Amino acid sequence: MKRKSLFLSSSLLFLTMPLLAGCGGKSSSGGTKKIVLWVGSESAAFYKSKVADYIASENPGIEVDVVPSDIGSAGGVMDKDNTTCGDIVSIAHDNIGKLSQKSLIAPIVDEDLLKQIDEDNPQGFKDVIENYLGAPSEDNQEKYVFAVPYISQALFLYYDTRYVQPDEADTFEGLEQAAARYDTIRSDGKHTKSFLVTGTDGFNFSFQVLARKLVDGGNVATSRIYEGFDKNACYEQSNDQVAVMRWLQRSHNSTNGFLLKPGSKWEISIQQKDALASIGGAWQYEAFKSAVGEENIGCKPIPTFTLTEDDVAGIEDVKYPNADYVKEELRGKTDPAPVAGTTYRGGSFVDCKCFVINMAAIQKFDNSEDREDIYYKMTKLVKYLSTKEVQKESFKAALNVPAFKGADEYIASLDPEKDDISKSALDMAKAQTAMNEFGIAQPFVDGKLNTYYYQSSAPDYYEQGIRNDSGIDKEYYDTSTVIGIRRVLFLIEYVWRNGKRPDISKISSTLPAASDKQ
Amino acid sequence: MANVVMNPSKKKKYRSQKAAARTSLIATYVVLSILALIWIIPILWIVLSAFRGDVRGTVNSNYFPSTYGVGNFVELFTSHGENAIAGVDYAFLKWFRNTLIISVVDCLISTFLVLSVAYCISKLRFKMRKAFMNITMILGLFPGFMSMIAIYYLLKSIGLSGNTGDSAWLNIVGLILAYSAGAGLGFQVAKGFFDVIPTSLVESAKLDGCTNFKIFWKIILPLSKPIIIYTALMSFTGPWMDFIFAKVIIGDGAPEMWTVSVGLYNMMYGPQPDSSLFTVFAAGCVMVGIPIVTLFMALQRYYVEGVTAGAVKG
Amino acid sequence: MADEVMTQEKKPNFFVRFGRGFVNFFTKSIPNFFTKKIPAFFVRIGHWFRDFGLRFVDGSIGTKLSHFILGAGSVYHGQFIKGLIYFGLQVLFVLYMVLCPAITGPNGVQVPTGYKSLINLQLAGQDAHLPEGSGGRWTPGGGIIPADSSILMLLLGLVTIAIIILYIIVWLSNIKSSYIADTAVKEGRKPSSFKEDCAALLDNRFHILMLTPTCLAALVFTVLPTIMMICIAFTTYNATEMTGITELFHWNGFDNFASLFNSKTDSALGIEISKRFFPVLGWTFIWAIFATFTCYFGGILLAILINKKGLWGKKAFRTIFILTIAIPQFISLLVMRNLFDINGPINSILQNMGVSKSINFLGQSTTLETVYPANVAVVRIMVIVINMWLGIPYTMLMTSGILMNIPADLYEAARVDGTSNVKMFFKITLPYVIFITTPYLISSFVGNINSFNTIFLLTEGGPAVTGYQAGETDLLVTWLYKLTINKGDFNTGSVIGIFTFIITATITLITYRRSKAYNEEDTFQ
Repeated sequence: MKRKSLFLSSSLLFLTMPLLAGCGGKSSSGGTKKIVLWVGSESAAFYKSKVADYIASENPGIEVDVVPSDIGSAGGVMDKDNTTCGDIVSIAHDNIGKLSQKSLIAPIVDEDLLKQIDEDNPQGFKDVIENYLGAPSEDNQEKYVFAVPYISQALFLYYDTRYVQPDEADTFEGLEQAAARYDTIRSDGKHTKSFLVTGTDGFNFSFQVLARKLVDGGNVATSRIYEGFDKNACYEQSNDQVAVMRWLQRSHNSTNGFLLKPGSKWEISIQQKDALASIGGAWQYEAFKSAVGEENIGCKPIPTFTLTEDDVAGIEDVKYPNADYVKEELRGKTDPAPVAGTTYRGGSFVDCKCFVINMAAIQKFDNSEDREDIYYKMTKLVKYLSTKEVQKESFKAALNVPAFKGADEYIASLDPEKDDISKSALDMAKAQTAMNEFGIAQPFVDGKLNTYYYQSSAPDYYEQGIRNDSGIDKEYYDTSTVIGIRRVLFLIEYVWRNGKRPDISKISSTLPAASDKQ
Repeated sequence: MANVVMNPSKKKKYRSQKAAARTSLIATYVVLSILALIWIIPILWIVLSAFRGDVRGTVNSNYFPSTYGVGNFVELFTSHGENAIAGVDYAFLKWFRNTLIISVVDCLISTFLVLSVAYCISKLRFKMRKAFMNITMILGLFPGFMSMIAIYYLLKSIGLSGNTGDSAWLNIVGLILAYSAGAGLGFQVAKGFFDVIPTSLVESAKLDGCTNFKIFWKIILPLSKPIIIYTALMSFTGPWMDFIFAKVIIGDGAPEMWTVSVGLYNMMYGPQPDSSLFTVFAAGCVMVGIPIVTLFMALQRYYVEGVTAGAVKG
Repeated sequence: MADEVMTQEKKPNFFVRFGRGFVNFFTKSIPNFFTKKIPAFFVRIGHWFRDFGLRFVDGSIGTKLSHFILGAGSVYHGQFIKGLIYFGLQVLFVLYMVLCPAITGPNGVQVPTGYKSLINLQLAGQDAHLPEGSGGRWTPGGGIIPADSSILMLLLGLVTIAIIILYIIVWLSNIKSSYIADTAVKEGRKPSSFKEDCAALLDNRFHILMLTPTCLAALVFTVLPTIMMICIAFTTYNATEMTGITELFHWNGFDNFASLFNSKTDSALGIEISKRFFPVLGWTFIWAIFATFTCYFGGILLAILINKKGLWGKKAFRTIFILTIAIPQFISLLVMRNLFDINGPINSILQNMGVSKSINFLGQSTTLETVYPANVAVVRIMVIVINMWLGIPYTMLMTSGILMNIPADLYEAARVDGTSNVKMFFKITLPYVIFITTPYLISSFVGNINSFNTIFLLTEGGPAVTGYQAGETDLLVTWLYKLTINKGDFNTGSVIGIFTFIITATITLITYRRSKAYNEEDTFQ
């Protein structure tokens, strides 16, 4: 038995060594500090030059490494392990809640920067960059600003100006007409679709979920989603949404309707004229350009559509439920059946991309002097990179649509000739800023709401409603019927509120449901 | 069975038998040729697609390409660094290098572990022997993925997984550990082989005063060439074939450190799937297929022996 | 061998035997386990404690002391190196347990090891919070105390338990070593020297030298992870619980198991899990049965064809079929996936032959092409057929050798009797091959239950069932993968893993325990 010990000893060593090795010391340094800055790949070169300018003029005692990254996934990388990403990171604003409530990003407490944020940004953005440090609780009520918006983004319409007239691009009916016209000159017998939807995630589908009814010159939201950042304030089963779904189904099934083309390479469909337009954002500009050529890019706000008799057939007046998730002034009131001829416009989430400061960049120092030093060095850099002037330059250099208040006026004032910017890029920025009127900032200020909206399949259910392809409960969610549509919409609404699917047997037999407490 | 109608003429019977044999032989040829065709069609297709003239083509409805060329191979070896496609570094040569390193090291460690365990279990008798065999069997019945997640965290907590940037190579060390650590539990086939070596050989050597180590080293191993080759072949090809373990442990983060299987899968279905990479993917498959197939063909005899032994021993 | 086969023939067929085995397992084996094995086990434990006590009483001072200070006995007997090693291990162990060196986890969290990790096994972690004395307001200088990580707490707790178990083994071996030295002294021999100890490792302790690496590696990379995942089945570790705000989960007993059967349980996934579990389980069995038997019989038939007497070009044919085995499976599967793509060559050939519309063979995501709805039956048949393409050459290769070994006189005798070829196949060939390859048949059945690659690479479980995560061709294992890797529902994934284990273990135990290979394992040589 003696020899066994020898080998067991090595075993114990084997197990303990990595553990002991794990408690290494931490680095600490004074003087010049190194900062790693993550920005979107498309604008890395621009920010590299701006950072060089900043260091040359301010002599701030920093060394900056600009790393190109994918803004879309940077938030996820940070969420997994914030020690593996940059010190200052560009993320989309819907990640803020998740990251701040996990204390992975640092609050902005630098007075100068706070002042700049407050002065420059529209209220919608100011609302979504505020959050709690750590999960909110009775003891934790303090809110901080966590991010500095510097790019705005929204959905709008791209179209191929060779085949779609500008006025046709104002309405979905016009797009369909253009597609039908292209069909007549096509020789391969295929049909051209009017427009593409390039993703089935919750962002791309927001153009329908957030559709606005155009009445009396104004526009009214057809659904309610996390209003006032309240988890419970969601209402999706309105008559308007039923009609919108009806319209979308009709478009989906019609010869020249829309085409779902998620994933990469959607631009091939545009190139091959399988569709003449696409609903997308600024990040798809290059792809669309490659498909149609720069001189043929047209951009417009998301078009309008008008209900026909078919769309409204069978939809009856219903009562808003007397429930807390309905707007107070609507509870118990009649939700009138939509009438043919009503016009709607597709909506959008209006997002901003922001700089955030990685908590790990501060935590890696042990003493508070070093922590403060690096923190204020970072906030100064962020302040410089997010000034209006740099945002404007960034638009010209990398087509990042600015996020500051009044960016639309600035864009409107630009001139392709004088300001050295292509006309199509300017059109795109105009179309996008025009969408501000028809959109809301993604209200996922809470990590939970973000998960509920994006990861609990609600967008999948929307798609399934359009296709009438509802998996194992086909009969219950048969969206060829009005009640089936309303059930799917209720299902989506329920998932928004609860993060999971409801039990069919417990859904109220008549919808809109007065209560869904299970 | 005996009451079948007998042919009265022996000669005639012989001739008809011969004719029947010939017909059945021809039928066999026909059937086998059709089957061989079915088996060859997909393989040939991927080779043809790799040599398609259009570089970076999508899946195409033609079985035979309209033009031929080697552009896809050129693309395969150059689409990294400056030429990265859509920001993803498809560094095939590096994947190949990674996989080669992993498989060589894994092959050495695994073969050693498998042989040592198999020898002990087969030829030595000790207290916990049966218990060891039973525990091994039970462990083998848990779905591998269950432990995969935990292994990922385990490796991560000692810094051997989930690394990005400069330390991403450590993920490869982690993957080697994960591959080879469990290898010793797959001793059954080798044990079956050792079982067949007569115990008398071992016993007579013992009487001559040989230590167990000497018996293993000087007597058993020289007799075990087939099983050594079989074990080595299996553990060498493992990393080229495995996909999911590599994907989880290495992660999608550092393309330079992918293995060929993760890289090729990600080309088509990864986080940034790109259907136009199909022909490049096909070229990659050919590049991976050639060495593995060659190896297999060269060592076919040993492989068949091992497989047959495995079938009988379960 | 020939006699065995003939006697084998008279036995009831495989299925009847399997059925009997199934019944016996519950009527005999399990009661037997409780009435005989367990009492025997306790008796052995009793004896062990008695011996342990005796050693303490009878042992020398060194032995007594070594109960408290490792290596004391060895030093007492003059075995200094060994004593030093033992003592060193004890010091290491004590340092580890007391100092609790911390590991840096994701997001910079420090998770302690040692005795603290045992306390942490309650999984009572804290969310991120401000350091004390911060006055409720964050400052850059003060920073933040990061959130605890339950997963690391669990992992390190289990690691510590493993270390304690290893320590106990070392401790016992230290006592035993001292006691053996006592005995040697009593009998007038010299206690073994360090050199002798090392030499023994190459001889009568050879198995310890050879098995230790595997045991340790298996402990760390197989046993520990498996136990950890079993633990996770009893926690709230899922995506909904850990919605991006917290790294914490807690113990929740059998709730996750209940949610599989009871749609009323407020499980993390709502009612989805309970609705999908049985359909997926059912398909897993259908798949395993078809995948196993199609490949098995197909392979035997192919082997017979190829080994036909007088056939020329055997080698060429064999090579073609072996090619499929040699090509890495992920490649051939991905190739198949593209070949049967909606826009792939097979569909194009069919269209040239007059089929009007592409067939969605592999249940491709309907989001790709709305116009090609997938038919579940078609997709399921397709994966089984493609699996035949992969599996038949393997069985062919394996059975070829066995076919050659069938004694020729069996066939001769039958031929004299005028038996037809077909009959000979069923009466002689098949029983022989089945007899020889029963272990393979079982392991391949179990392997098919866990067949991840084929399904994942061909269909990814599609046609998808929207929102339910388990598609129509998802097996338990692929569902397990989706739940854990894609969705983060680790606890449900673990529950499914445990069920998969129960299923495969039951099948294996019933059949293996009855098989010759198991029972006569020792006498076989």
